[in-house]
Amino acid sequence: MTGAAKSVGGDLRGQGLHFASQAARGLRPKAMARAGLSGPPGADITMLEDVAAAVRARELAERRRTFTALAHQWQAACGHLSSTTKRANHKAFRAIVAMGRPAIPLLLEQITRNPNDWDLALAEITGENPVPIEDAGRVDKIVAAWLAWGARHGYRR
Amino acid sequence: MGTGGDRRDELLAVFPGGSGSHFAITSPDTPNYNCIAWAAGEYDRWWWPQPGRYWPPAAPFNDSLDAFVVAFGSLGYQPCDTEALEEGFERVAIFVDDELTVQHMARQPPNGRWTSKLGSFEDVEHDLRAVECNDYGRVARILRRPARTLLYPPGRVSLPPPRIPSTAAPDACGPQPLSVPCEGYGSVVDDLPQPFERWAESGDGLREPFKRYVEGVRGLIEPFERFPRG
Repeated sequence: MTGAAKSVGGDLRGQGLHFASQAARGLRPKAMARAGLSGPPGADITMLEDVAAAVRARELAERRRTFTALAHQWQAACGHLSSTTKRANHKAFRAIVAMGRPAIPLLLEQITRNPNDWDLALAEITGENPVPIEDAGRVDKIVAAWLAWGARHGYRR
Repeated sequence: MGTGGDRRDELLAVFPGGSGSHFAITSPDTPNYNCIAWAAGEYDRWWWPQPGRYWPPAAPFNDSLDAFVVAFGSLGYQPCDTEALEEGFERVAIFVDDELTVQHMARQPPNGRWTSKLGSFEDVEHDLRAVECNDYGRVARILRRPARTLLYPPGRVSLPPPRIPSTAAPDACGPQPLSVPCEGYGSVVDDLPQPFERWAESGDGLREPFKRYVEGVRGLIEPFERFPRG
């Protein structure tokens, strides 16, 4: 690795992994060449992509930890409640909705394991409701509709 | 979830009024229905005046006491003065919080006990006021209608395992369904076919599911009838 490349790597480490992630996504071979980076073909890109992948994995794990903690908190506080109004207004549920679209894959996972009211969070985040009106309240139909929605939108295979 | 006794203790921590009175878990936990559906005699969808949940079309779409009275009025329930058991009638009780917002409902089937679904947790059989608490509030209205709902709905009856005289211990009941004694299950099972058939023939719109259930119960009971009871 050249001195320039080391310098770039050093800067990236110094400025944080978020910047590294952006850099790895943004820099392509021509841009690397313009920046005067050299070395074995693709070596710098590989390094940056590794950093970006690590960053993404860490972000994902952190998001999952937060989501799981909030879901447990909500279940403990609201499991005995029948009022959907009260359940959907609990602070843990609101925090999950506030996570926005990054929470969608986690919600789709959760809805298969423990359906509860996660469809309401999905509906709020996406602004969509794939559940036919005649299936309102029917958990198995709700889950199936959201999983199909997830597949159509690339969240599930 | 804990075992039967542990789980009951967990629930009593939320419903301290159940301590020292009848408070028995009668089903597994499930998110498939809630107390409102259960009070209405349903067990396969969650009722609430909220988009995405079932709500009777004739009722106002809000969680006020009046809206729930109208919703259950559409099922034939009318307000009444007493919560005491009355032959030929079944009752539901509506619980409200301090803002008169509905939080819970319970049903009194013809056996005189009250039964509640606790959110997405279990069903319990209890004294009416045993589930009054901060979250559920207090009983605000009792409604009644001529009896037609069943004690336990499809899929909710756990049959004791068959007794095989020469190999099993003579007094063993096998794994118990939570805190309900074996004897109670025997009588419930004995009582099931007749009311279910009556319901199935009543032309109530829920006829088909209950017909299916009657067939299912027959399928469950018949193998056990090959073994001696008691």
